[in-house]
Amino acid sequence: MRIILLAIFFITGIGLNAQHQRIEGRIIDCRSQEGIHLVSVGILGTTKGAISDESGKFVIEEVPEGDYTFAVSSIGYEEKRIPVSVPAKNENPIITISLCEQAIDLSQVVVTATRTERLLKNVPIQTQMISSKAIERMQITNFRDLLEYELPGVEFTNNGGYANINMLGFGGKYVLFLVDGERMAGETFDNIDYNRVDMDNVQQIEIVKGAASSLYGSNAVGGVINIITQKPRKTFETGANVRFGSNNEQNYRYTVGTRRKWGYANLTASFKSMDPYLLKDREPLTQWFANGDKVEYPLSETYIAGYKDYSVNPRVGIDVSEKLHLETKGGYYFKERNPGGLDGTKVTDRYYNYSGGLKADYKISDNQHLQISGNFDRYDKFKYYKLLSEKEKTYENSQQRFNGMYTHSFAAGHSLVAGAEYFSDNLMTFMFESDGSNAKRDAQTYAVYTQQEWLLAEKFTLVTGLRYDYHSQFKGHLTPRLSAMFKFTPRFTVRGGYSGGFRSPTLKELYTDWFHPDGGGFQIIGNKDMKAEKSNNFNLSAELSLGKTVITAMTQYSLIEDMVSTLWANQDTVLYANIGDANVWSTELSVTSQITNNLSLKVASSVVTDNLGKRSIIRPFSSTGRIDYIIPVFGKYNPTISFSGKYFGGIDIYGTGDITDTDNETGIEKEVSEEYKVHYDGYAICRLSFAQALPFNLTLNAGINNLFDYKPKFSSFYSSISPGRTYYIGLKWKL
Amino acid sequence: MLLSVLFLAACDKDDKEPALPGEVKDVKFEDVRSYTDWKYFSFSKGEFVTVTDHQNDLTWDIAFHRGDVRLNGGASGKGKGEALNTQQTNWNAVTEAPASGYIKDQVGKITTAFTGDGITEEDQPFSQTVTTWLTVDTSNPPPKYTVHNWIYVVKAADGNYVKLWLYDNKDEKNTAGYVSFRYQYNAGGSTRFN
Repeated sequence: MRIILLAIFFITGIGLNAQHQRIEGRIIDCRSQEGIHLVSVGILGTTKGAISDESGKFVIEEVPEGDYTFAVSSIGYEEKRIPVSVPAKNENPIITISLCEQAIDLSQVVVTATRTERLLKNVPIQTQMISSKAIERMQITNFRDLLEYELPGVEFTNNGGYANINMLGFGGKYVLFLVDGERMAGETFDNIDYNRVDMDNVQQIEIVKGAASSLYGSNAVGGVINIITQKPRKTFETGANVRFGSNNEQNYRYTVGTRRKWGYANLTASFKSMDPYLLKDREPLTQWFANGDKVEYPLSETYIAGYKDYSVNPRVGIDVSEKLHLETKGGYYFKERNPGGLDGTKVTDRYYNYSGGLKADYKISDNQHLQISGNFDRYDKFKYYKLLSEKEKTYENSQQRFNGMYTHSFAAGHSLVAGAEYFSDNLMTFMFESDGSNAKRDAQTYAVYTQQEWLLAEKFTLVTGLRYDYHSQFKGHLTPRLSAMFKFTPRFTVRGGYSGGFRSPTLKELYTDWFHPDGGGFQIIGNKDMKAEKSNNFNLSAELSLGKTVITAMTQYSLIEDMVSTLWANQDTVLYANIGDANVWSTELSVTSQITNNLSLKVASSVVTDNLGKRSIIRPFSSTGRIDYIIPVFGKYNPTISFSGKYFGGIDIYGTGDITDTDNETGIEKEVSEEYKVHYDGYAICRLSFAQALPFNLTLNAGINNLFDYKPKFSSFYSSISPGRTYYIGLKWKL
Repeated sequence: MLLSVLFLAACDKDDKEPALPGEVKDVKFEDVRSYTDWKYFSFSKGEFVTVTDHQNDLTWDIAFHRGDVRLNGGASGKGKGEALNTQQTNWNAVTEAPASGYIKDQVGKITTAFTGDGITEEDQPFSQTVTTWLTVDTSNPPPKYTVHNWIYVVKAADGNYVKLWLYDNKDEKNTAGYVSFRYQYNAGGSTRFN
């Protein structure tokens, strides 16, 4: 299997042996009889293969005579194996292969989690994938919602109006978000600007949970989420979307692209907006003290910020020669965030993002590639004072990354990736201001890494990885990784492994020196004397494929040494410090089933625990579910219904507060600091979406978010920010 | 001329005192961030005044200390200050000062320091009625401020009616600890507002 896959992507060169044949063929859709583009055709037992062009045609040169099996596969189609006899004489056989569309089978999707392309089912490191099809079905226009609805262990809390991710017990600084393998600059509470991700431009999202991959950095103990964007597939393609929804939600998008012999080019432009909305408490937030006292806070109102953003993203790929492919891309993004209410009439936040990248892919030989890339991403934040017509810069983050990577695939199924990376992070924030200068701070990381896959036996693949990071402040650190995949039977796969982690404190954790004005104020101070966090991470997963049903169980355990957090150094100073060891354990179970060609189901649940005890802020239990149904009524114009939901278990959040205690003997009242808890209920939010294909390449979309109109009793950090039931309707056109 | 006088007289035929409502004025983004000092304002002068002995000074009508409000009356001063919450949130809906229901300032707890050490409270006189204009929820940082937009009718130190709306506790840059308010001071003693 491995050999075919390697062969698929590399077409062999030219030979002059008369015994060899040129094989031509065409791949067609079994229903429409139209050619299918980008189908992989590989000859088993050889390194030969080809990819079909737009008309479905493919050519494999220089095939020696003999009997072969062709392996034919393409995303969205059933994999096929066809016996082909290549005669000795020069007959130039032309073969036609018809493929039938497959409903959804993620196992056939090619993923790049290990930097070499693999079918999802064969990736030795447990990888999850969200396909563009799933995104299309769910009609989610917001990256944050997508993660929350598709991944059970993902929760976003509302930190002072900003979304804050928790993924299987890990916060934003442990989760690495990538777009086509490149990092995104700019964070708010360690979270990327989720609006930057254009959901309509996503080809697929690959999620490697835990610290399993050494290729992307050792910070990402919580996981790597890599967003792969779409490339043009046709000579000319264009599309436009509009969508309107509750709270004045508006989305407009246009894309145009071309794929030619010389390469490809595309441009997407989008505009999204939504008004702020107000959540009103229905019951008071109540602090329950151990002595039985309770403190009820008055009912309050919480504004959830609205936004207006637009982006333009051009991309050009050029096949300079058969061996050299160049790609360059750029991006501009602007967002205005309106915090809502009276505040929003005076001050808004403005965010500007500029990005650019250049990538060269050089094919040294069929099985050796060299990739060199440079990427730049800058994210600025301003406060815009409407009444004063003034703009104040509060934040500037720019990141540069240069990466050189060599991949070598060996015929025996082994592969080697080796690379070197330079990463520079420059940050200016108002939080560095105590010396009055809004000083810039920076850090550089130099890394070398290697990852090898060893196909030790037909059923057993071993992945070894080693990464050495040199941080300008924290010096060198080596992190090893070892993981294995064992395919007991073609239906049952077990993966597991160990990985080391190394996280240098962020620039904010090192250099913050900021007077926090809330509540009388206190100073937050970074700490240059901290140690870097080290972690040991273990993961184990099992995947059982029962034909159309796949059951996956995953568990991971992380032990973090010298965890960086904040401590009260004295009464008005908060200091970043290494607070000791922490551990996080998560388990996830998921069942995906293609019940019939028209009906599919996905259910997943996760349980997360950590050793933080009463300081823990994770909802331990969560579940997601989705049912997609294609209503078989109009043939080509069949409508699709998708129902999805997420359930979060309840949680008690602990804190300390001052209450008045009456001394039993003297009757004197005194203020004492006591522990209290606030209970947040479990809740479920469901959504229903409907798509109707129409003539002229149009699709009508409509849906209801928060179908059962769930609203939290009160709004706080750990409660839902949904406005309740909302509606949307949209139209897509695609040529 | 004669006609207009007649017309006005006709309009005011039920009123024995034909005094007119005062001018509607706004005070915007006044810095009252101090935890220790109050800032005193005179409705008749339309400006902030310096007061050293608020208990015996009649030049001030209303005072501000963060979200706290004090009127020159009751426990706060020897004027005639007192207040009533009309429970209306629409400025134009309040056209007449109610005849009764006014509440005088009393001594209560206000926050006089707020540091990492916590909150220090002190007993001081203030208007428990007008101080309801703002709620501060500190259950989770950052503090959540709710401006309720109640329209109050208060009495100035001289007993004249004032329609009062406190509508913002932040400045142009949304720094908390400021006050913006609209008032209509009926210098002639009218009970009517517009």
